Amino acid sequence: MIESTLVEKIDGDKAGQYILETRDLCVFAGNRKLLQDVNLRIVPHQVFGLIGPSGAGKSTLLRCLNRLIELDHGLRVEGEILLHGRSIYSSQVNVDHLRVRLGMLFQQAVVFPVSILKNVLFGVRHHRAVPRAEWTSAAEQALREATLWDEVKDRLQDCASKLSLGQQQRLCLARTLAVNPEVILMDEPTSALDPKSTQAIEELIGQLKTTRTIILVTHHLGQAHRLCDEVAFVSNQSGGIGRIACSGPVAAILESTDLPELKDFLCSGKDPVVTCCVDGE
Amino acid sequence: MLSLRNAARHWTWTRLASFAFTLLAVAFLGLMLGLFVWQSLPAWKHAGLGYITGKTWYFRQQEFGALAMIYGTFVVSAVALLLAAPVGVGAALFTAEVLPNRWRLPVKAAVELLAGVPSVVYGLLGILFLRNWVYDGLESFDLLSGDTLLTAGILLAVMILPTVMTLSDDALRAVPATQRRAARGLGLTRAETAILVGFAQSWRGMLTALLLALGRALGETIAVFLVVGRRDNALPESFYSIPPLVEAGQTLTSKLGGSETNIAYGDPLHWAAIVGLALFLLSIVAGISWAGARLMRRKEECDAPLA
Repeated sequence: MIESTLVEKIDGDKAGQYILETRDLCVFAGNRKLLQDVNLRIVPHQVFGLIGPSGAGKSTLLRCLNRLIELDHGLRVEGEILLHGRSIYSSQVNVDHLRVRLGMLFQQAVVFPVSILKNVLFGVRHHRAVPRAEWTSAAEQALREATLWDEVKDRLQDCASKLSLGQQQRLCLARTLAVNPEVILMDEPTSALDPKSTQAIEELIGQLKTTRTIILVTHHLGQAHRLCDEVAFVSNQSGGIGRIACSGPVAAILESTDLPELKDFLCSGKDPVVTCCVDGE
Repeated sequence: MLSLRNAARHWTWTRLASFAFTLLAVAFLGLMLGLFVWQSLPAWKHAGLGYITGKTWYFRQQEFGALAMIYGTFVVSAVALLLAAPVGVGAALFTAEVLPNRWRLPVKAAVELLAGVPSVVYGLLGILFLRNWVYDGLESFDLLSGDTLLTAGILLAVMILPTVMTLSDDALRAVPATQRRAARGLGLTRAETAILVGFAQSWRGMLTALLLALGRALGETIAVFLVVGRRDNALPESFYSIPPLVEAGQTLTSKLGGSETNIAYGDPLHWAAIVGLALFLLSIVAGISWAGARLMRRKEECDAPLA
């Protein structure tokens, strides 16, 4: 049975083991509420999916998790977000350091107009966490982790924009990995990519979850089914305000639900992996 | 509704008309250059290369050496750029990277209004305030008056500041917001992002802004005329000497704007020397504008070498 939030969904014995937790999280644009009472608990080393219709607030929710939302003027966040049980909005938290710990991969690959090597080292060079002598090896390690090393090892000084879109997205991932984040927030990272590049990124996500926690926003139900351990469905059917309609293990959510709005969303998907449509009708 | 044939004809006429007007503009520029070259030939024949390198200009003795004026123009422009570049670029970094949009636009509009203030007004303000401030501030140099190359340079800096700032701001804002967001997502601070993303990717536009401002500085006449002192043959003993900077001097424009131009018209050689100065000035300004335009057009894939 699907519970209304993940808070109720996860077993009590997992309490205290969550890497990331939101409590009654609300987001406002002026007086208008965009997200309401979001309660999530995410355990380490899993891929946690956020699914839902366009405009429901998935990306907004994702940007709350590393406080990148603060770059959008006029948006206000209420409630709590805990990383390892400590509020990320505490005055003692350095927001720039926080964003190193919660790296982000955007929908569109954003490479800087510099060489491939400089792109990978962009964060590393300015955080000074890695000694200069180890920059090259750090870049190699990140590129290997992003499965891009073999493709670019002979042209590290080439301009990053010469890479294909799929390679650029993996380069962005390598750049994020180079600063060694605990959590990687991925905002529809494959939506602009061709099937082959999408497959490469998906395989990568599968490998990365052994060392990191991944929160993935996706419209692609098949992708959620293949990659995610747990998913949360963000719905905006109650007056246009985004809320978590249900969450839980991916199979439970995608394959058997009696929640009408989730069923509507799943049935509108083109992915054959979702069977509830057939089951329900 | 226009038929396709009418549309094609309409387009053809538009194209022809725009081509004709462009040709007219180019022809006018060519004609002007040709006229200046022709009119200045006697001076080149009379003095040869000494027309550029000669240190003395005594028209009654038919000595026409423009070096002091070229030096004055160079010094005044250099002072203006040295002062306006850091302030203008810094202000642009503030408006583009720090100021919220609701404040940025009014500030930018106000600055752009400053660029439209007639230069004679700046000149009068220079006489009213700046001249005295320079005179009082540099008392230890025992100045004869506040009319110096430095005063003209400072005044020019104020005049070109809006150009530097507003074009630099445009260059910074042309950097996509996604680039800044990606940098902040990597944990870079706002200041680091401004420098390593904003500044690093817009340096070409900023350099263009400086070149366009330099073009304006070189060509500025009336404001410089009012505060530069207009002393002929003011050259330093050595390249690094400070005194000529804080003494009255002469620039190409202040020379051309003075009464000597009217006197020169009666004497073909003197007139040729005066027109030669205008030709020299025109060539430098055109060269700088061309370099600026070329720099603006050239966009390379890896265009953030400072990042």
